[in-house]
Amino acid sequence: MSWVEINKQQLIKSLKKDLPDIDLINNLKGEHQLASSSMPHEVVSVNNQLYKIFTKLKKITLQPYYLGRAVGDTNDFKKHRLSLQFIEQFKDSLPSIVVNQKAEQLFLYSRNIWSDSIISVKGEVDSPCLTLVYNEQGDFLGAGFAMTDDLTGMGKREVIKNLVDIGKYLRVEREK
Amino acid sequence: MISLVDKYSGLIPQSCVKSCYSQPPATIRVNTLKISRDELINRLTNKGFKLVEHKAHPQAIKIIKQPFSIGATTEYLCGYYFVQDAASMIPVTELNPRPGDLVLDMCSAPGGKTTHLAELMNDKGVIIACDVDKQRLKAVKYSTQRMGFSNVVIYNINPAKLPGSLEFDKVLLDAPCSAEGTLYKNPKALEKANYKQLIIEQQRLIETAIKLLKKGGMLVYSTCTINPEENELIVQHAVNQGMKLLKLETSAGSPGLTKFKGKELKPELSLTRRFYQLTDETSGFFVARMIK
Repeated sequence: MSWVEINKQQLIKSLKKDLPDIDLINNLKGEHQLASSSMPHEVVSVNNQLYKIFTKLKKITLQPYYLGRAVGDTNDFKKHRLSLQFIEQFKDSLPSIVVNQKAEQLFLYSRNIWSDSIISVKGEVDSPCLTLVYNEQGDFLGAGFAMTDDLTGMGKREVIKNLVDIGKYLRVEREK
Repeated sequence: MISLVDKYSGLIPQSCVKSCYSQPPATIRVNTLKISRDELINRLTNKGFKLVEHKAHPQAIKIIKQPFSIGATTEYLCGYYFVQDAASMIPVTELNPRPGDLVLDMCSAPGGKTTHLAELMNDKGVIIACDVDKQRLKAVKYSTQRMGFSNVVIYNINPAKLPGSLEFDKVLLDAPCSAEGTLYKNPKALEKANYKQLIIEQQRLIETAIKLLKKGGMLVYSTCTINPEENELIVQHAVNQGMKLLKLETSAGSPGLTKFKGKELKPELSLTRRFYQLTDETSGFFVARMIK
């Protein structure tokens, strides 16, 4: 596997589809973005110090297995599946919900969120928008796409489609 | 086949050797960049876990009672802690990495020490984490992500391939070993261990560590074996190459051996530390700290 630097502006343009209101220019400022040759391509952001090491070792044909901060993965660089590590940074800028314990457990098994399990909603939900999911203790559980603007009204129904959840870490451990 | 007790008769107290067959208590290390120790203890206690301080390391929390697996809580998935033997925390704190340092973790999988380094560096500076086992590097990658670190670059290489021009501030060599200190995990490990090969590999690795370290840089060598040939004798090899042994900060453990097979070793090897389940409630472990 090898890693190459990718165009920051193109990445931002692509990420804007899911994060229209986030200041991505500032978030990625002073860092370099790299993509892996594997499929799907992993996209990461690395600070200057790490980038210097990366380029120095690349010159002697050493390519990392992994590095930096995960941004997401993509097949075509037009649409990215965002990583937990990347999304979590925007907790103050994205709409979010708090769910009950039962929904927490189900969400960690990749299930969607039902309206009757939502305890509270913060921020303006403009469907279909990226929405962060928290438990009652305030732990970040992952993110999903709101399927409606009104997450708690109109009876029991699925309202958040699971995009990524921290249960992923247990699932990858069990793959070992 | 000779037993471990017979092998170290007259060298290491029998009771200490025997304790390598007993599992130490499960322990966790708090990721203080994400949660405070007190809050984590409160939350896990509310879930039915019984937790107490661990005498071997200030960051270690000993688990007395687990109503379910400690590796399956929401707090674990949130990256608030790492499940790790208390002894494994000692090499990292002894290395004392600082934000901005360039640190080499020579045998990094499964990532417990790598994430501990990243935490102590406040996610600043760079850690080059190497391991020759690609399958096990997956754990390093996801542990780094789960615990929220971004200052790690992982290479699936033998660190001997790294250029000397990198000049690391600090190097951690948790060397592959016979794992005599963790026989409770795999009692048959002794039968499989190729001691000659391991010792050659450890010597090569410590030579690489010395080569890659900048002048005045710090090296911590550790293993999970109680075998002097893989511990004190490897460190003596480093001292012979000009490394200077330093006293460890920890008061846990017991001094390293200064005699082996009737021969006197360098007296400063008493500055190294040995750990046993019996005396320290850890796996059998060895740590040495040196400066170039």
